[in-house]
Amino acid sequence: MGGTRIYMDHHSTTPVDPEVLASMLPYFTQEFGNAASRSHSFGWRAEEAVEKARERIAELIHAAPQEILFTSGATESDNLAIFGVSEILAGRGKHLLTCRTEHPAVLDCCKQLEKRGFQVTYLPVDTTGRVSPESVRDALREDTILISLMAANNEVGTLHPVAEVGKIAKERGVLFHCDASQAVGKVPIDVEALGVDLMAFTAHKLYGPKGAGVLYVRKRAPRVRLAPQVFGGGHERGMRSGTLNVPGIVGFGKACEIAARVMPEEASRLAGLRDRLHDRITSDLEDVQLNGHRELRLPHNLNLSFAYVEGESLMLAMEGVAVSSGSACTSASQEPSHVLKAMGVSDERAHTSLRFGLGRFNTQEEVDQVAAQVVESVKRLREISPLYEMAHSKNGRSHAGDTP
Amino acid sequence: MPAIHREPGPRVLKHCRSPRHAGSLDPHDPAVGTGTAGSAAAGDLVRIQLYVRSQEILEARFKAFGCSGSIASASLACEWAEGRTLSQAEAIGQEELAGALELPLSKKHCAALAEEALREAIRESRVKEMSLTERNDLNLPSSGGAE
Repeated sequence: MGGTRIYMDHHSTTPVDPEVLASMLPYFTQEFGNAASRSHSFGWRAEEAVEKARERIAELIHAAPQEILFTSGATESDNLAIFGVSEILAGRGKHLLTCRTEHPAVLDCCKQLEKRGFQVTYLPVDTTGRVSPESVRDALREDTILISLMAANNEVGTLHPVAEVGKIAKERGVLFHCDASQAVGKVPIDVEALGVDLMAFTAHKLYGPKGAGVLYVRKRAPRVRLAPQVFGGGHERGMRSGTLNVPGIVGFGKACEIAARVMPEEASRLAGLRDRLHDRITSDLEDVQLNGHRELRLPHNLNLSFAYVEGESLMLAMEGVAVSSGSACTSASQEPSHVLKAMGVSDERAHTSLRFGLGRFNTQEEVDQVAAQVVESVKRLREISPLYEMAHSKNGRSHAGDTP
Repeated sequence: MPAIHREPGPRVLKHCRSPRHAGSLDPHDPAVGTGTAGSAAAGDLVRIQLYVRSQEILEARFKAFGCSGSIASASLACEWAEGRTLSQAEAIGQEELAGALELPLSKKHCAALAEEALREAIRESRVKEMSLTERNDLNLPSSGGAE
């Protein structure tokens, strides 16, 4: 496909910031040492770079560097948190609490644990995608060993009441894991203020490289103990064996340093662009609904349903624009987004949803161009939509020949 | 979030971007047969309409709510059906549609929906034409009173 391409799918991944890339490059060639090599300067320098990155990452979330554990990404971090805690605390209890709109990285771990004899409560969300702290309190049991709740949802951007849940977890002495992949670097995250004990996030969602993740593991009050899930060499204080991805970690550190610097300004700029996109679309189109919470959401997220138009065909019609859809057409039985379903959105409306994720390098011109393409494509697809025709002939607005 | 895993083939794109047979015919016209398949809740709803005179499909029109594969399948089914007789159009099947559009295996059901809608439209066309012929044979001006 030729022509210009506009990327508005930053919940999936982000481009590497040029400043991040520059910081990484020496660690592929000149400084290629193994951070675990203790006997020469190649190893020492690699280790020094890793520790510097660890500090920067810790700083962004107000943690101590010793509480940062490197992994291959947020999925591995979620696995380590959930399986690591369950294995250690199985003797105390076999119940976990999570939410229906979690990422598969958490849900699939929970399903796996259910096969191993654990019980999991999947908390419902309201129509904006938020879990209520009261439902967390009510669902806690004597044998609950872990609460796992994401900071921000990857589809609708809804922010959960993490601090309130953290407080409840503390009161009840239950460990609290938070998948903050979508939130870190986008909204302020302070592990102390939020009261989380474990937190997963990844470099590639905040303009760092793919393949570098982190699990924050609280060291004090309480000191969280985990059973390692990967063995072979005892790296990361025995918690996660395997040679460290030095260039990736260096890039992760730089990405966090940049995020800490630009976050307030960037968040308000992206929220402004996001609202501009929303306004431009809805001023020209009827029957467009927002999915998620109008205020309590990520600043760069916009999830809309365009009645009568299926999401995948809409994505295709918007040539050169990269977004995502809550509709999946890969087989006859495919279910639409589990997140929208949990929010009580009908299947039909879920099939018409599109997720826009704005990012650091999007411009106002791009926003205006995407808005124009959305409007034009939706109008064109509504012209060939039997649902649009039915709805409008019922209202007596067109296609008079269709009604008896 | 699920998405398209690869760009659809050129024929799918052509049909989606310039669907020449998109539109609707009056379903109450005795010469128009209408067929629908799928459902909005399942993410694909296809409607095909045929304007038929003496067994010949003079016009074929579709409307579709669904992914690119469904739109392209309905569009191609209409393109092939137009100008053919009802019996000839009956030979248009999902295998041929999916093959011509180079649909991946995961999109086969899109072609199946187009086939189903077309079959349904052909069936209704036949029913309507039969009742027309019967009326003409019996020299009756309108329906009813055939006993």
